[in-house]
Amino acid sequence: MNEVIKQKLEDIFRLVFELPSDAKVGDIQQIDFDKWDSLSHVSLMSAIENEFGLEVDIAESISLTSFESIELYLSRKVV
Amino acid sequence: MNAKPTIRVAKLIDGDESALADFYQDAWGASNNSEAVAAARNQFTVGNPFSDDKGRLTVAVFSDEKIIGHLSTIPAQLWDGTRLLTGVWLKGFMVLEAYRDGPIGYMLIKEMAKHLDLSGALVVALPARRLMEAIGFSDVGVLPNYLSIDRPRRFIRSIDASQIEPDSSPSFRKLTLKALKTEPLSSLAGLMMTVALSVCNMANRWLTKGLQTATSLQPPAASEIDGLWTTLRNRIGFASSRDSAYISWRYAPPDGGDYEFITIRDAGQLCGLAIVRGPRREDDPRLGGLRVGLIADLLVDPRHKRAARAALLAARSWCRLRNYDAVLFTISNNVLRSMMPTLGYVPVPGNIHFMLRTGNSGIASPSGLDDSWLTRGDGWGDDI
Repeated sequence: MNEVIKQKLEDIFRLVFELPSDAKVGDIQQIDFDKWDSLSHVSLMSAIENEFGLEVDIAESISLTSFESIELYLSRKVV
Repeated sequence: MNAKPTIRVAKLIDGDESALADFYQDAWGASNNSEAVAAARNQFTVGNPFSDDKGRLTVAVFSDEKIIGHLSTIPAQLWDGTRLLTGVWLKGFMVLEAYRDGPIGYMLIKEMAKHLDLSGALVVALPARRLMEAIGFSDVGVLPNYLSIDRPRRFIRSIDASQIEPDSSPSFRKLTLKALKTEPLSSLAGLMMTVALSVCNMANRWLTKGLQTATSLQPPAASEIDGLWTTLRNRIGFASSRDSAYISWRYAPPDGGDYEFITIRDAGQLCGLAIVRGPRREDDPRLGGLRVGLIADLLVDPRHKRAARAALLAARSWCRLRNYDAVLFTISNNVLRSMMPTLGYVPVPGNIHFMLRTGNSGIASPSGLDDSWLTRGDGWGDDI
């Protein structure tokens, strides 16, 4: 199940950040990735909500600042 | 385990002063006493001829009771080529560092959009521009900068090109600047620029013979400014209003300001007004200790080229008398821009974007800056 989540999340990252289909995204962090600004963060959260059918609380989304943290978040939220 | 904070966005109300004071201190290192906060809040509304009784529109994002993001407005009046319209400048778009690149900026701009109609902004940062475009702002263009260098050798040796030039600029220019910093090239380049500027000054003084120049801490008579503004606006397609009430409030506040007024007269009639000031800070690392004066605003009929020349020459003389190393002028209008090289002002890369949202105003967003009249004083761009 986690592999499915991971794959979907990778696709979302590539789509939101306009990366090639084979781009490695597992190490992406907000702090050192120029394309991750406020607008792309909102797009990312929106795409995640749509894909996984959940609502990301704003306070929680503030701490979702890397691929890894989002993957962990989804592994808890997605049944 | 700490409880999750409540994140909310709202318009600021009178009871939020304490939270705002803390935010001002966190964001800008400003004093957080209540008088300072009230003064900062009132700065753009009290005496502003374009304020209405609704007060200053400001939105903030709160994490529990702490403000973590802020965006405010300055009431303004905008000219679209045929009529004057009520609008605002966006100002003070700030998110605390720990919360950047997340949802806060978007929350601010989305909330502000509910209350905005015709609005403008002068913006540098790409993330802010992207957010504004997402709610309907157009990026009309980058305001062109021009620099007149009074002390070429000192300027060349002090300027840090890597901090001034945008990353995308050709590396040849950066390499050239780097080479010119060494002797004997810097002395030679300095001498050549000094000679060129002297020739330029002589030619322009001859061209502007007969015009009278004067400098004052106070603006000229209101009727004169209004006359000049009416003439100017009838020649251009877009501008922020520069009538006498605005000029006095903006540049000559009752408690004193940083600005001085250079008037150009033709047979006694006001035909040009340059508003100048010294550097706000002298510790800008990009400038390496250089002191750069500023032409914050200019009113002149673009068809009256002698008046424009005289105003820009006088501004440079004003800076030279104060031992500034250079003077900066930002102007969008293409008629004036075409004159700059012959006045000894060289183009330098700009990074301030003019963003415009027309809302329900009915005006068409300008397709570019050429026909507009925007200077660094607009939207408090001289704070950037």
